Amino acid sequence: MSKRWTVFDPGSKNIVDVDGFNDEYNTQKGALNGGVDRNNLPGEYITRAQIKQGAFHKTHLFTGLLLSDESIKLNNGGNLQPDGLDYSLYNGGWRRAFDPVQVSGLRDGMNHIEFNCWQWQYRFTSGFSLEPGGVLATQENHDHWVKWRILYNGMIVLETGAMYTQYDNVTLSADFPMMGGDASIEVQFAFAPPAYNDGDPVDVVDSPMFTFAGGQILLLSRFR
Amino acid sequence: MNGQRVEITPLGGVSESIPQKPSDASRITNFTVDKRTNGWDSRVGYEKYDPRPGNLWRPFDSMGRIDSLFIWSKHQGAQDWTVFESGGTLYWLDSSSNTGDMRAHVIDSGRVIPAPSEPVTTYTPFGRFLIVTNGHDRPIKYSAWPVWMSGGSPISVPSYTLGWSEIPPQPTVWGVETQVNFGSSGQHVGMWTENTLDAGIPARDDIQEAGLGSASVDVENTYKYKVSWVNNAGAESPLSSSSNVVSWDSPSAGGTYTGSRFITKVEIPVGPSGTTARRLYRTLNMKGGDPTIPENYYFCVEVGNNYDEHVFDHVGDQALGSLAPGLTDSVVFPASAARFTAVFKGCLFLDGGTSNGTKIYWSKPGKPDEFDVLNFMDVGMRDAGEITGFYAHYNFLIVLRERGIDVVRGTYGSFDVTPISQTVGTRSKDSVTTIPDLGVVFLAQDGVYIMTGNMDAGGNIDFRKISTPINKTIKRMNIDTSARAVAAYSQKWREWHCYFPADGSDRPSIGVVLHLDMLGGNTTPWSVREDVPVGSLTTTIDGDLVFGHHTGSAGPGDPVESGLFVISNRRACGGQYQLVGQDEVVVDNAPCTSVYQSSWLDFGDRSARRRVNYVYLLCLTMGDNQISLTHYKDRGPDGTQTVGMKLQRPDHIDQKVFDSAVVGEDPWDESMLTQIRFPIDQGVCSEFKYGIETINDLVILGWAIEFTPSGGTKVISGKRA
Repeated sequence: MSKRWTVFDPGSKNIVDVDGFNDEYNTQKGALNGGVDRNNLPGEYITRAQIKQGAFHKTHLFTGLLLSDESIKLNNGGNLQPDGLDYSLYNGGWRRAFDPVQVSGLRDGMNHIEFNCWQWQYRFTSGFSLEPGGVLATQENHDHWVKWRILYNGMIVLETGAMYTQYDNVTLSADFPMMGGDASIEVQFAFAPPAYNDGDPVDVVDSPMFTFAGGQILLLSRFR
Repeated sequence: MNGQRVEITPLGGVSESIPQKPSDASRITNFTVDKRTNGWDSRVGYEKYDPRPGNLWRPFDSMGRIDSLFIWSKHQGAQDWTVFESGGTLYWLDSSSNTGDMRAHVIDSGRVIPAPSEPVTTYTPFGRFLIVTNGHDRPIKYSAWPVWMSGGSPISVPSYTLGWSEIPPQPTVWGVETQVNFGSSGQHVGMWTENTLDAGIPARDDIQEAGLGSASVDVENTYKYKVSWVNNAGAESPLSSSSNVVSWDSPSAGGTYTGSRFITKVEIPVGPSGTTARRLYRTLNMKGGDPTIPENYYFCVEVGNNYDEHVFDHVGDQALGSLAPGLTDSVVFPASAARFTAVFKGCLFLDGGTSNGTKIYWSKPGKPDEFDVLNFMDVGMRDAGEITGFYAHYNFLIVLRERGIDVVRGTYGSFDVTPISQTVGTRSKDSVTTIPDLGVVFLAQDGVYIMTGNMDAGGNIDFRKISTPINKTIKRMNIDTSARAVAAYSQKWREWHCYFPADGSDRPSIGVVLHLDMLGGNTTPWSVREDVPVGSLTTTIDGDLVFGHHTGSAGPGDPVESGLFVISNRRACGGQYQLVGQDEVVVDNAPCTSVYQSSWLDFGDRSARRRVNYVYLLCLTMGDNQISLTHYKDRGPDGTQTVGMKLQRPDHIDQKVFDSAVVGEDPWDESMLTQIRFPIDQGVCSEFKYGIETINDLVILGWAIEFTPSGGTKVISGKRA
């Protein structure tokens, strides 16, 4: 909305013209109701005290998200290592991290989405050892990695590169325009596929390789 | 003897011809058309772009003339990017500064200040860019957003050079070592891939045939590269020249790396600002110059950034992409001195500049930086002169010339140019405007023309001069500086404003206004606008007329009007700096003086003489402010002023006015139609007119004259020498 300038300027000794007054008043009122934006007001002109609750038309928070795809997950019983992805069940590729979360009643505008969790991965393959006499590091036996991506109604809105650290906090953040309506938000991960040496698998199976927990999705939806 | 009465309503616009129709006016200055009554309304003025009085003229305090101005509305008006130029600096106006005052941030500085006879900067939106050209400085491409701010100032402004100013330097390929482990050695690198085609390793199937060179033993492998840049508009630069030749022999039988293919390391040049990617092209394995293998280049890999200095190439010959662009597909920017631009059929059109004034260039569709070597034409000098501007309209591109007009038609690949006029031309490219339902209106040297029609389906393009009623005013135009004329159409005012240098001036000094609400009747649609210091002019998305001051400040310490202003209903003709107590403020000037002069009325018989007794002004009540008439006879220059009359109904109680109306007691009121009678005492005359000159509010709807025929008095004999 562009700026507004004088429509009616009441002068001294002029009649108290209701039409002119209404023209000026309605123009300013219309501008305010039409959505004041940065063209009309200087920055910091509106303080926090003047911001009305609900300015974001939708906010969503989903917590307690963790690796829940049982088809690739090994229950590790009471061992110190956590339950997690296992190479006897996983051969690489993108997998759904947990069931997609559903939101509804969104309006045309912008979405801000954040996904947080902690992750653990067994960084090295089983053939690697730091002990004297162990196998030296090779291209094949180290550098497991994990990648993340977020899909909004099936469209990828964020995709990370590979992360190599053994423990890490993951914070993903994306802003993107959206259509109004309902939406499904899905988080996927990809873990390094099992390595082979001359056709023989290097990695052990029946040992957890990757897991995550403490997942949280924050969605802030706003008008434009 | 009974008086006779002639009533003239509705009123028309200005006609400077002789004789006039009774509804015409001899002069209408600083009036607009009242939308409620279609009468002439004096309530026009102008005000600061930022109307707050206490911020003086900030951020324009010490700026001189605003040479050019463009408001780029995006997001349906939610973002107005106001771009203007003053004193050789191109600015954008930041109206969201956290200090409360607007700020002007520099986009480009050290630019050439246009001479009074030169056209000013041209602004053309193209997708998410604003193309800025002035015929002297390198054309730039400004994207406005995003702009990163720190402490109220931009860290960097998203402004880029338009087109490719150079060919990328050739890439440099490192040599290939075939007998070393990981790592590099000087300008050689040794990396290999296994010939996995036969290795049968399922997990590595995805890199079959990866690597360069032959897997056979003792084969001489030879490759060359070229590189191109890709910028943020998707345009690809010309290809570089060929790299050095990289050559190696495949390992002999029985070696460690026998059967391996290899990986090359290629140094690639970083592109200019705005480059977002580099593309590497490569030959097939030319095997030491095998004459049966042509030196063709194929797409190899795209590096999606502008900072990596080298790339490792492991793309096998079978995995190469399509053939590289030809040498003529993209060339160095051919119009670096372009003055005028327009977007037509998705292409950016530019002129060749002052030294190449009859040449037109156009970009590839959707890529304002990418030019095929043959994307130009020369319209020839003939009688029409140089190109003076472009204007895209309907399904053709209007090519304005000094003494003619051509149009470009067709689509990319088949553009052609056709002359449509060799008599009408213009130097005033900023006067060209589309008026909805009318056509394209522009100011030529001899008047205002309208261009209508199209050339499809056997149609014709017609030119019609529409400024004949105001020829006398148009004739005041300074032809030498007419390139500085500016015009804009406002859908809010339903007016076309055109300001041009008059009376020898070097800057616009008078305006003519075409009132659409006056079209269609048996009258003229024109009025004149004076005292409005328009130097450059544009409109907002809502139709507000914003202009840059034609003079501005002489510098620090000269706190006169400067910067941007808006034509509005404010009862002020701008403002002036004043020191009020300790406060520096800008206070409103008095309203602009509005002048209405009736036509010369001859009562239908110029030979007879009459005595005018009264003029009745048909107007709206406005309050206690007074107006007076000045009446003239027989085209004499000196008039006689009547007494002042309040704009109240004579035979009713006065309507309440500001300053005396009491809130809560007196009702809101509204203007009413009334007649104010002015007595006239000037003897007999053959022709009569009256005039009003006022700074008070006035809406005039018509007028009437009561006169008495003066017996048998006729025009007397002419004087003998």
